[in-house]
Amino acid sequence: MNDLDKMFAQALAEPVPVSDDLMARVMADAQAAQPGAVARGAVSQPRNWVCDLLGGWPALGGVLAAGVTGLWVGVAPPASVEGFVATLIGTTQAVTFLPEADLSYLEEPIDG
Amino acid sequence: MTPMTALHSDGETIPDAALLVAYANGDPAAARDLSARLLPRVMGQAIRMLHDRGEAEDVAQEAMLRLWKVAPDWRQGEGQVSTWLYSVVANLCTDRLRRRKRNGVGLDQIAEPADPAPGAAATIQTNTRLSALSNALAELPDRQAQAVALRHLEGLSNPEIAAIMDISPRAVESLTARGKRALAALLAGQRDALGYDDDGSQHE
Repeated sequence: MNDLDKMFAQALAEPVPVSDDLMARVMADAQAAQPGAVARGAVSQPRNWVCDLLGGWPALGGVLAAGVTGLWVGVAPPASVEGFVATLIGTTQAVTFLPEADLSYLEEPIDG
Repeated sequence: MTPMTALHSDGETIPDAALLVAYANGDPAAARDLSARLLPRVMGQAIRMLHDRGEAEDVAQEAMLRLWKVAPDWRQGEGQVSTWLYSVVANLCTDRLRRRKRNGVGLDQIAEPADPAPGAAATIQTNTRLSALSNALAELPDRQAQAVALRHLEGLSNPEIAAIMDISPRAVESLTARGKRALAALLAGQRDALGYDDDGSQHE
């Protein structure tokens, strides 16, 4: 047996370690790559379907911000918005939820 | 998705290809059974060519990942999973050896053991020799290195290697003969460093 054959024999005799870490990595890959794995995950979490439909939490945050802004503009429109609406439809109507006259009774009486 | 029938592990009776198809059909136990069966073989091939545990583990993981990805397209009867894996691992290993050579790990740069136990001279010598063998493989053309490794490090027959490399058995014979001669020439200058003069071996 020459040197090279001895080397081959030594290489063949070496133990082959398969660590738990390697097995865990391989199994994680297998789970991630298994066909249908994503679909099964979605079915197991039905409460998230609205969030997923809208594109996840970042998109949902944008929708909520837009809703709050719209509500605020409706309740207290800036002057520029009122002017724009008046130009657009010719007239505008202001509605006051707390008329000034109604507030007079809240004022403290002034003696004298 | 149609309900699947789980293939339970009962030794080596279930062919690899059947387990792979079961995996592709969603059987959660198939991947575990296939890994238990194939990973030691894949890791062994990689570590014998590379003689570097970290690199061998990366190669083994990559080879298995490619297996998982090819599973949905696998057709039973078209070939053996083990043949396909031998080919993938051989290619991944020669890629690594080429990179090692490009990065300047030469024949004269024999890796020292990471933390040798005191007095474990034989272990150190074996480690030195196997590192030298791996670095010498890196000097060969890819196909020669693959053929030599499959023949002499995996102990496969020429027809088996021919199927793995998709060449004729005669071409395998030629590649292994030329590869072995080249390896012997590359390692001839390191007999002293590798300790072959110390153990009374005869150099041919």
